[in-house]
Amino acid sequence: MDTELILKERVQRVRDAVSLKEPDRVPITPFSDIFFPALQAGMTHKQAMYKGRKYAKAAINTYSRYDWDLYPTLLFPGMGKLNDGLGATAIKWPGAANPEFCLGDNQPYQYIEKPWMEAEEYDELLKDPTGFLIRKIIPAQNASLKLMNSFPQISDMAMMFNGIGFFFFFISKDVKKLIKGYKKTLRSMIGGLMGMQSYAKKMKKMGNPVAGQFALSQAPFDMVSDTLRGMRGTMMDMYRNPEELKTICDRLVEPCLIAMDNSPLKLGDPDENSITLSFIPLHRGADGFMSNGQFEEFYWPSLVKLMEGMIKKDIIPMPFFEGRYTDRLEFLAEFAKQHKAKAVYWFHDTDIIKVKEMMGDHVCIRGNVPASLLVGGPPSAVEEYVKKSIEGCMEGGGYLVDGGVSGIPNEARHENVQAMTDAVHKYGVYRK
Amino acid sequence: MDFINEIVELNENNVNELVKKRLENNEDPLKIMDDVKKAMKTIGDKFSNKEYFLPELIMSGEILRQIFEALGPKLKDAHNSEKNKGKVLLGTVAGDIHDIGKDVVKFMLDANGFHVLDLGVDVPADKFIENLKEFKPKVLGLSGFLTLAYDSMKEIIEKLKSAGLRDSLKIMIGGGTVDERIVDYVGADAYGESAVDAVNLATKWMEV
Repeated sequence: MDTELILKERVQRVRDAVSLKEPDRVPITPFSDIFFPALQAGMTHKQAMYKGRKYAKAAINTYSRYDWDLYPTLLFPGMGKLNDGLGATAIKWPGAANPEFCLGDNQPYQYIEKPWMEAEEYDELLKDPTGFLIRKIIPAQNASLKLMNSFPQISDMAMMFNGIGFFFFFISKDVKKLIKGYKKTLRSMIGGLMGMQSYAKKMKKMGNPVAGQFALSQAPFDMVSDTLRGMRGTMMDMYRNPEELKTICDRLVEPCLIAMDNSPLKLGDPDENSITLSFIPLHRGADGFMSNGQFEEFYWPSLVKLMEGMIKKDIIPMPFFEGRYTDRLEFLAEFAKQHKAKAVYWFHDTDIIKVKEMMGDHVCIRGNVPASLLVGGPPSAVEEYVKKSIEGCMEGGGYLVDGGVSGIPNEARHENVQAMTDAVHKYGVYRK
Repeated sequence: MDFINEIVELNENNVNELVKKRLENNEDPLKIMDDVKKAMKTIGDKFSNKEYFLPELIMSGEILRQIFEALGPKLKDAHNSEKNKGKVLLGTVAGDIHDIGKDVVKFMLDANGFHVLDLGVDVPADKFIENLKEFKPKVLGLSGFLTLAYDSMKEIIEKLKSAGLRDSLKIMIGGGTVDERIVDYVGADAYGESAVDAVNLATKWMEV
């Protein structure tokens, strides 16, 4: 069959579902955890972090086995080299050159959460967030970028004489050395980057559309929690510095949106043979982390602003509600109602059939085959789960089948992923 | 408001003032500790009832830290040795460095009078076994956020079986992607969805 036709059919199927129209069949659109294709191809986690080209091949071979409607974007192949080059200190990964940050060859990378700034530094942060991130946080999280702590005020270049300071920064020996090192790192990553590009091309040639999921973003509260104050710090701020915390969450929204306009990854501007769903993995908003009152005061407002800003740019926000969001459904339903067919809600451990009943007329739902099934099986239990989900969620379109956490988990077994795929084709048909 | 309520309401400054005053009045620090324990129990109960969440647990932990600092280190030991509801060994399994869930479980077991030994994160099977032999707990709690944790948990429990340590022990598991189905997969006794479940399981098992 004509692969270009298949490509168009598949993309249209997903578009229909997102716009709350019934396609011919429920689409299956798995995201995949980074190491799933590597492990399927017999590579170690370490190899996946360093052998970008080989990883991209493994991804093509692994994913093209499955009859899906939208295929995962390749995230971060070759990140190991970039991390080594930057001297990353906020992440541990297999193969890290610095033993302090090195994990075993068969471990996935994991982020280190700690307060990168103290509560006393809020004033400084709020006066000039970009400057603070450049001069304080970037050097703290990247040992090779220590010099950034004296990075000149770039906007001074617009003023009389002051561009000279900027010039002098770049003629310093140490800065020259830094740039040389960075270039070397980038050169070593070319194989991986080429692999990434050829992945998308080859997949499309085979009729497999690749999701434009590189449009990553985060809830502003999570940015503060994950990368500035740590969760402990942020939660103490809710008591000790509530106004500062709310102000910084609010002020992070606009820079995130501007970054989407200027990104070389062309967010929100997919070609006609792809569809960009902007992945927003949520961390601290889940049930149990905070009360509904705290969610409403600290977490939700800046996230709503961010998603509304994306919708204005024709980007489809796809918040990933990791954990359980049963206590928050009223908030989610209200946003969906105000932005009909403009977002995709991806759920992990929330009852999606209940979600469908509550807000299925307003938002496309994605999920949520449990990781425990995709790893542990058996295939018959996977089939049963997918069948039940489809029956509960397919009416009127607006449902995409995917795994619950990270889509296909790293350790998923082929026979379970196959069973998930087969079940969609078996039970998901609206019309022949 | 009295001292216990000030702690429960997380009025940090008032608590510190009151501790200072009570020490100046030469009150027995053990009496202050009795009040602190009552307050922590109430905070734990409020967490179970979904009145309190993580920010409150973290703030109360911070207040507790300041009280200990004012009272001196000896009292912390006294506080620990009085735990009499039984011993629980806890840790995040090999390969996984996530600690939030485990720390909440620790807080809640602690507040409910269990003696908890927390081995931290990325704990290899052999370290669990070593500590089981020495600490002799009745309950083992295994935490993990990553899907990789399934096999780490399985390995620990298989090693416990070979070492003849499995039968005398109750094992509960929990965290991120862990669910009921993983209990059989790894050979544990029960899955806990929340820290409250962990307290209930431990309480039930200690009574047997």
